[in-house]
Amino acid sequence: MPRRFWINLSTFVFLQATSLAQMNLAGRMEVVWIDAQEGQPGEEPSENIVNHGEPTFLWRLRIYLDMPVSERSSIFSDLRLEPEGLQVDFAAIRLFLNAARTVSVQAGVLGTPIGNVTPRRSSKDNPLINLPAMYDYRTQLPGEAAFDYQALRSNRGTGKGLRLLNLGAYSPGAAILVSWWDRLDLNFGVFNYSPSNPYTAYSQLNLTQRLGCRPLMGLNVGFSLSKGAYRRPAPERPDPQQLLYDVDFSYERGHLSIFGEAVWNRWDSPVDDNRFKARGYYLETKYKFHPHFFVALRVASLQFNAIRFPDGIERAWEDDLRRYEWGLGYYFARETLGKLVYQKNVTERVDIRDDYVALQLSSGF
Amino acid sequence: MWIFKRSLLCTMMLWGVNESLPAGDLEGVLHFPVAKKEVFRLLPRYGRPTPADETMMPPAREVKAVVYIADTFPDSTFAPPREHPIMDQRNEQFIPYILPVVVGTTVDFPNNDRVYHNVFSFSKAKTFDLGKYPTRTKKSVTFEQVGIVSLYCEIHAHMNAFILVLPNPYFATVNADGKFRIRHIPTGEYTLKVFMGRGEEIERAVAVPENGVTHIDISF
Repeated sequence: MPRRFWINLSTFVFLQATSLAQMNLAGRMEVVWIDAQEGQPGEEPSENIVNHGEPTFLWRLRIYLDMPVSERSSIFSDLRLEPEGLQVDFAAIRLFLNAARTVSVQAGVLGTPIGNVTPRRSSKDNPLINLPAMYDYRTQLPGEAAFDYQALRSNRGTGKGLRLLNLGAYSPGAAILVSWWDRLDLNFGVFNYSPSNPYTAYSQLNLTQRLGCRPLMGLNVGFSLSKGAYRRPAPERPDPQQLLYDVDFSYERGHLSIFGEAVWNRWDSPVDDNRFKARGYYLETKYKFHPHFFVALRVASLQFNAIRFPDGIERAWEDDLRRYEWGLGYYFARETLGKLVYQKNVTERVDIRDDYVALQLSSGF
Repeated sequence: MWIFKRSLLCTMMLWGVNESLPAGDLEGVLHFPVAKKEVFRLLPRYGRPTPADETMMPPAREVKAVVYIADTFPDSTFAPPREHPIMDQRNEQFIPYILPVVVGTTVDFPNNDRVYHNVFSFSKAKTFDLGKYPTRTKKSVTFEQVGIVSLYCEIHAHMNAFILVLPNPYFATVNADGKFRIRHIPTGEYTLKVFMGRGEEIERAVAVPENGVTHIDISF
């Protein structure tokens, strides 16, 4: 079924349900000014460079429409209004199956359960502006365009292809969530997408799961696994697969928060037996040194493997990346937050010159 | 009940300061606006709802308003209580909803929940952030400036309560029945205020005679 059908169906069900229960309306307005470097002179700027290096002002309104339907069920939705139009990002019902509320099912258009960024991706909870590199950085591996080794040789660093994990990856799906002893949580989902490519409906469903545990208060550790097709079936290979393992952790105590995640990812070549591998990590800390102020630092890395090209030579299919981000945040009020962020990128082969400085103001209601 | 007993003890300690002056009591009833229809609580998008704690004390949460004498008493000093009043955290709620204290009082913030909390306030009367601290630990804050302190939890957006820092100990908490009594107020004419948290604040002029009880009914 096309993705749009499911989105429309979910929206219809949601709008019908709103007439039956009380609606909770909240939202967040975000404005950001970004001044990025313009890329290497004489070369095509990477898609990872915001607006090709032109100073840019962006705005976005997020609207959260949530409804408790009964003691055991609630409906959630995220709407996103941008200059390009209105998008329904998330529309789902969550139903608890037992009185202790330890087992629930969630169905609709859902986000990925992988890692620990999904619940804290909003500008209020993200201490910087971008998401970590493994969620944000575009590789050159095409998700939809025709696969061509010649292009693969010349497009390194252009950012024309897939991310490892795409948090825009809201997709029709269903998940079961089970909790044991307040210590262990399992989220097992079936989706009509792959974590890196949310924009296509595939013939094969994707299975994604995360097992999270809390050994002690403030410490969370999660293990995620995802497997499924990431491209349309090709004649040479019926279902090019993506296989992804992810380990995440977070520790919070006092005014200090630490988050980290490591990912190992493999995409099968759609035309032969090559395997495009990527691994990466990020480590992020936030320290609130005053009720109104915090500082944040994030270090991230992405590394890509060498594959054998048709000319018989083994070479990396993408440039390795190291990314450093630091920021200063100021709470004007409880729901109004300003951030000043600097991002520096170091790529292995050539400096693609895509560092940026950005100011963001976000306010919730 | 132990929160009430401690509050009563603290208040009695304060009353001792002006026992020798002519004083009367002020009692009355607040007629609250009709409460909104109960709705189901919104479940979390991620993770499990905080399990209900059977040992919580619901009446303490039901401090719906505080009635207090807003005037200052320049000739009197009101020592803060030695025993700290408590703003508890249970079942993802602050308990009580409104805690009145006299200026200079230190309030304890124990975490008696099964999850982390991060109490903070950006109020002019007191700006602070206690950070995240685990179950069965507590932190304390001293309130040195008269005013309204709005409390929030950084982790749980629905958690909200108030600490009302007052210039004198002549106040009373009001539960759902609306009844209140402020004892041993020095004789005189005062401004009586009612604080209900978010929403309107009401004030009335009152006269407290020597001895005896003055009755006042207040409707919203």
